[in-house]
Amino acid sequence: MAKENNLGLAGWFHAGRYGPQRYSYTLQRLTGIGIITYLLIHVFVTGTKIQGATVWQSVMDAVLHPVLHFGEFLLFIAIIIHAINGFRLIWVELGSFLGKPFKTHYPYQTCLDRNRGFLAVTWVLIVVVAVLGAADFMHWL
Amino acid sequence: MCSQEQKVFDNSTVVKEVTLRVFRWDSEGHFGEGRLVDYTVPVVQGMTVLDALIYLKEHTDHTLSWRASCRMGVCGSCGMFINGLPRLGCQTQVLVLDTDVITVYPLPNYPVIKDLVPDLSRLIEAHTAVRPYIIRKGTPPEEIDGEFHQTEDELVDYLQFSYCLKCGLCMSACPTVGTLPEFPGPQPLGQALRYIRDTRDEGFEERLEALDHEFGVFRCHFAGACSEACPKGIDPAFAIQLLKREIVKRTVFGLPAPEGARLMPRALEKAEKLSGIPPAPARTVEES
Amino acid sequence: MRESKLWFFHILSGAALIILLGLHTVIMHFDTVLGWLGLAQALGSADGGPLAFGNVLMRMQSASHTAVYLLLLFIGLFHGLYGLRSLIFELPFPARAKHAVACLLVVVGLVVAFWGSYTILSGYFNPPALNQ
Repeated sequence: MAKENNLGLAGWFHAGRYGPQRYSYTLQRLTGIGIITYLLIHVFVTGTKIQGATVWQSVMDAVLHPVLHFGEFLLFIAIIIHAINGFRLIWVELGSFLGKPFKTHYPYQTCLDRNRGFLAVTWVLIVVVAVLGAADFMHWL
Repeated sequence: MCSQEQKVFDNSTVVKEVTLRVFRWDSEGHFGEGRLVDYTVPVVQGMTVLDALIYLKEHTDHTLSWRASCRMGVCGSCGMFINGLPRLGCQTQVLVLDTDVITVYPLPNYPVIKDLVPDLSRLIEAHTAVRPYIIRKGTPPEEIDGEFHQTEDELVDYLQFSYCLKCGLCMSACPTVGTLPEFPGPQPLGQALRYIRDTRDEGFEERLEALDHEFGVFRCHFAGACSEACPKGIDPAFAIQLLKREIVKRTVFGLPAPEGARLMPRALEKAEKLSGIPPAPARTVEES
Repeated sequence: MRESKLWFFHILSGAALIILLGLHTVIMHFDTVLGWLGLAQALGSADGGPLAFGNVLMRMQSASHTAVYLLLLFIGLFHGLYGLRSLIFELPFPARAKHAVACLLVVVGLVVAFWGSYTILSGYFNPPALNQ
């Protein structure tokens, strides 16, 4: 009789001393959940535009409540992260930017090492676009 | 505190003492639902975690159980979760870990038989399901009389993925293996690619059923933990992304399989003539 | 449909969304930057911001915006719901329940796609008056 020992759902969030790539996959998932949840609601909220200006304005007044407005800001950041990291994943999951197989020898190098540059550029871009967008969002510009 | 001039093993000097915090569990309930037990181990230069466990079994607690065989990193038996990562016990030096407490758990994502011994059935079954052998249409491999021509480039295309020990560390690292029982896992998927990319193999279609389904290869999202854990540099994460590319090329774009390895029937004869080695004698065992 | 085909469409839709959703995000959230570039009027962001009803109406009646919104709706729904299906398939519960949830996601997708297309096309062919 054996004892179950699976990582389970907790393993998506923490499972040991792994590098950033493992957790960037969880982040991609979390931002994705946020975005699809928002989309499903967004279609109905924006659909009220066909009922005219008065209805539209009352809906806009409701969604511009500070808590919801902040939520929209978080969603904006989620979209930036998901899209830019997603761009990297499109290439990587089709086998690009990971190097070529070669005759390996110790100490071993992995495709994660070869993709580190791309990952770094991705995150720099995410931060830059997020800051620009945040500035616009907060009407600092 | 280490004793003055204490000598252990092959008379090496004890450098320090560490605490080995080992997960203990058995089906008879001696450790309840499982418990961490602290043991003190004197450490000598070059000592591995496996050496430490052997020391404990000899001197402290003979009921401690784990798997090991070659003790030199080629059999893959001694996989354990040491200080937060799946590692081979025989390849993990105590002094390199550089902590006073070393935690040792059994490999995650496998049921535990006892203490540090995992039940590797999932690994074996999933590996078997991807048919990890050369598949030839037509002449069975044992009747092939000749050599396959394979260039250096064709060899390098799959060589690094062929060094797999089946140690199972990658399966422990994978977040999808942790939640989805039907997912093959990094090891089988990496080995599927090893055979698909081998120009001698003609079995892409046969393997597809085990790969291209809703719980198959496309449930990998490149967490990359498998490549971090692999002790042999096989880089299963790399293999899996290449596998996705191969599958999409053939199933979505309908691209034909690349040209297979050419069989050179006279090559053996020629090699025998040139080397002076006589041909093999006739069979003495009847075919069944 | 083969999982590999579905997955490849997921990747392709992701690439399309980077452009489409990128455009939508720029119009909605980078209106100040658009103003600097002189593109605000054309993209429906000037005079009160993208959420002012005048601009909403302008975009509703624009063929190009309508086309982009329809593409965004269908491609976004496919990409998002496939991602959700992927997540649900990886959760630790029985396979049969997972297939049931996947069917539910298809239904949700169809309902939202229908309603979204209705509002987009209704806005284009039969827009409300500005002062309604």
